[in-house]
Amino acid sequence: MRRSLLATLAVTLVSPWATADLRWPPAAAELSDMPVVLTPARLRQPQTEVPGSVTVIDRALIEASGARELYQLMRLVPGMAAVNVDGNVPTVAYHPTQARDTRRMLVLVDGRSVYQPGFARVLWNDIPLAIADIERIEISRGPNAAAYGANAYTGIINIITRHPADVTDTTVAARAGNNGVRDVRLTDGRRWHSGAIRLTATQRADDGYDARQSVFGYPQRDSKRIETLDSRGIQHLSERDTLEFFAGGSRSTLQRPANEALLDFVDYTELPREDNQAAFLQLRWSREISDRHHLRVQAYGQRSRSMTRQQLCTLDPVTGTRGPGGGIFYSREARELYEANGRDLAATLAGLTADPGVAGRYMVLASSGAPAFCHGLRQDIREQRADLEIEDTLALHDRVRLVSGASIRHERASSQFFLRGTHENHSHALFANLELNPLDPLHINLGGFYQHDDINGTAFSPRLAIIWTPAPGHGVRLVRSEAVRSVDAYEDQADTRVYPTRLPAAIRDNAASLLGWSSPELFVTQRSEGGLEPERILARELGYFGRIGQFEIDVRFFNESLTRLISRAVNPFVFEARNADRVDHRGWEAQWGWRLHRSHLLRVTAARVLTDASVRTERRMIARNSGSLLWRFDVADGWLLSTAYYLAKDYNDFRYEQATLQLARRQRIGPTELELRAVIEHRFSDHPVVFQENRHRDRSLYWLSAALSF
Amino acid sequence: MRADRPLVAILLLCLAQGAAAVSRLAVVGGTEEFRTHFTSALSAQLVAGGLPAPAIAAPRRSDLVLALGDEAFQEALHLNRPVLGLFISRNIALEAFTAGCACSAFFSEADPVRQLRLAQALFPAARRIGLITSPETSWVAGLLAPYAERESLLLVHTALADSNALARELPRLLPQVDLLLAISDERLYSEATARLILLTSYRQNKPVIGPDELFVQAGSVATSYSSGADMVKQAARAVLDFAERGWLPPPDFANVFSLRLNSHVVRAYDVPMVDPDALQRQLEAGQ
Repeated sequence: MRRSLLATLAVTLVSPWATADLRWPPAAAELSDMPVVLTPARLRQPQTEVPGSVTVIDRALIEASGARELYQLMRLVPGMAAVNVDGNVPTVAYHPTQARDTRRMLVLVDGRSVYQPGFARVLWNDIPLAIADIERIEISRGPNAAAYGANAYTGIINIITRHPADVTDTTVAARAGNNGVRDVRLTDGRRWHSGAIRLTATQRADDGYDARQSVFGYPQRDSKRIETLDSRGIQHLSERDTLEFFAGGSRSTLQRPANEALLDFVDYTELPREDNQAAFLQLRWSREISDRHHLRVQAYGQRSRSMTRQQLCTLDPVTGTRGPGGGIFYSREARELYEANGRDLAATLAGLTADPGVAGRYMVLASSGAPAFCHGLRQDIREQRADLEIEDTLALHDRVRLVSGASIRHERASSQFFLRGTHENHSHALFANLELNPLDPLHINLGGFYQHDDINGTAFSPRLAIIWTPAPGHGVRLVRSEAVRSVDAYEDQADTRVYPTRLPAAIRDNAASLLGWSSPELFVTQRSEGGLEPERILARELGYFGRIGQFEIDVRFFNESLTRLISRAVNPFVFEARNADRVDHRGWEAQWGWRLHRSHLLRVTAARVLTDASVRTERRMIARNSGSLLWRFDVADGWLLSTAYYLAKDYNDFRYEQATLQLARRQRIGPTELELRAVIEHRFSDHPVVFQENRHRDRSLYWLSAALSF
Repeated sequence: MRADRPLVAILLLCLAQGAAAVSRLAVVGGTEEFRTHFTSALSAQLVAGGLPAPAIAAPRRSDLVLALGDEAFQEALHLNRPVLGLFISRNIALEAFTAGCACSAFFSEADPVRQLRLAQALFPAARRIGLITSPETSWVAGLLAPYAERESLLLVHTALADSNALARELPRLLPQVDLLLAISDERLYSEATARLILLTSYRQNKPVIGPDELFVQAGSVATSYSSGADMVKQAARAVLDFAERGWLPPPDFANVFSLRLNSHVVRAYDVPMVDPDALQRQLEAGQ
């Protein structure tokens, strides 16, 4: 079609002003009451711009993993160890070091730290959280103390639970399988005009490692039974103000093995049993000051109580049998000998009967006519924390974002057994993280966390990250970060007192004359000399995160230097707390996700970590090569098939190789939904898990579950 | 005409055979200001297309009535003149067309297939597409299904009676999908439900595509839409065709469109492709 010059001119001249205001419907934007819900997007950090390596485990992965317990999900994280190391007690550690090490990583649930600094541990069994209530888990691989403070040492696990408004059903679920698996769950969600609440109660039990073998001459006992209650509620106070509350608790009973350190001179009549109780209450007020400015104030309190009870008879050191002479181990003279030997346990045991003072005391006991020295032992721990935190997130500009805040915390640890009383720790902190985007492809993240507490003094954890995003969806990052692991109350203030309970009346009432003191204690005691400094880590990282079509890949090259480590034994029998050791990790790890088809999801992780440590125990849990492979197949409407494979070479010289196969069917029946699930966990290796005693009778564990939602 | 729209194909109707004189046009509906700007822009487009500048006439004396919006369209149908509706609800346009009116229309709704293609372009890894419809928009599922099948996409469709069930069904749907395709449906996507939909989707990390500019302004990722300026071009093409061949195209979605992306949300979801011009060209090429 011919176009005239006049016509072209007309279009050129007329169109711009004529069409500029042609909005349809006319004046729609001006008259609209459409809310603007941009705060989450404005303040959210895209994964390409995160100053570190992050693994996100979302609901699709959680469901596909077939995991029964929370800790098992962490096997999907490259470089992470997540196994039951101590019978029924899980160890979860990123770039792990010691076998029972849960002290070098921070774990948060909805912003609440479940890391217990009194005894530097995370009690994974007792986290009151059902897997079904998890929205996603974000794992920062590498130190992130600049954002989270002390103890965000090797990494951070940040668990975000399902929003109460997203749980709209009542669900009753049950699971049963071999190895004594018996689980039940009840979840209820309610919502109203301006709020919602979710409540979950669970009970789970299993027999632990069930090879029925003997450990130190006693039958292996590591079954567990755990009950949890968890709730989360939200009330929208206004368009901009939200109040959330979180409350919950747990109760667990764990069978524990015989204490190896006692076996030289005791005979168990009742093996240890650990009872734990925990409860928390958390309140969070959030205010959207504007769509560029968000303020959050959070307060929480939590307390936990742990009690390990056991019954035993202390053996007569001369006859090696039960008798009143066993009381010699609880005598004043034995303690004096132990102190004289510089607290050398072996030397004291070897010279016990030869010492004149001890020998005299033994004669008193042996001739007293008292019954055998049988009694109970109780290890008690109570921990409390109160925490108040304010966090302000402000987008100063489209290219500048500042997250800053402050917190105060009070912690209390009590134990007659480990601390001979109560110790408190007060801390306060200031933190700020500045995200700059000076040029389109360049992001700079500058942050620091200043913290002071009574035990550790002042610490500052800085971080500098430079992220280059050559194209949207691709980020190359260079990160240097430091962090500290705080000295815990036990390391700093240990004063152990192993005292007998439930002594025969004839001994208890005459303790001063029979044992030399009225409040008898085991001759072994340990006392911290204090003066410890926080463990330090310096990490350097070169990483890449990118999305290409259906692929998502993250690669991390790292060099981590852990120094001033308190690596040696710290327990009531051997206490060698010194900032004497170091560990160096270097290597690479990668995670790769591929939505290869609408029904298929493939995910692969791999890690290679080369470790150099000043003491072997710090190398025990690090696998030089590890990885996982997960495939999810949404077969057809309601059917799901998934499988996962995990490999670690090696944990404590033992190969860990396991696969999971899951078949699930979800069926709507009117207003209700029925879900049936069958899971098999199969071990490919005959090797035990970390330690010799951790063995299963069968290579396969299986369970079936049913859940009804209405 | 697209092969995947059998209804439209069946309803194709020639309003007249041969060339038709379009010397007098009437534009009805909208606000006076909008109408004035629209008419000016349209005249310029028609002149640029080689048509003598048509006179603006009273509707009853015009050769073709351009009706802006549902109300004007329905009123214009009684004028016994050929009517081209612009920004007309699909249901109203098809109802009139099947009743045998001498009319055609370009719908006010964005083409759902184009919206889905937009979603694909922004989120290539998204293979499971969530779709919620009310009884008035249940046809969208049928429209999208062949395209989804061809592209190996899984369309997870939830049909709701109204928005009262959104709060319960949206959290159920989102975990099963990679993104939510929000369609033009005032029963479901309105000022009253935007907050619920957008906050729920943010929480579950599931982007929302569509349904319109206002929703993008509120917090959805992106949408394609036909602005007034786009509709000017669309109408000009139809008028030129009408003048040249004597018939109007059957009612359909407008294929002249603009894109609106929310840069904050695009960034938050790490969208790999954000050049709007390239995106527009990609979508236009596939039409």
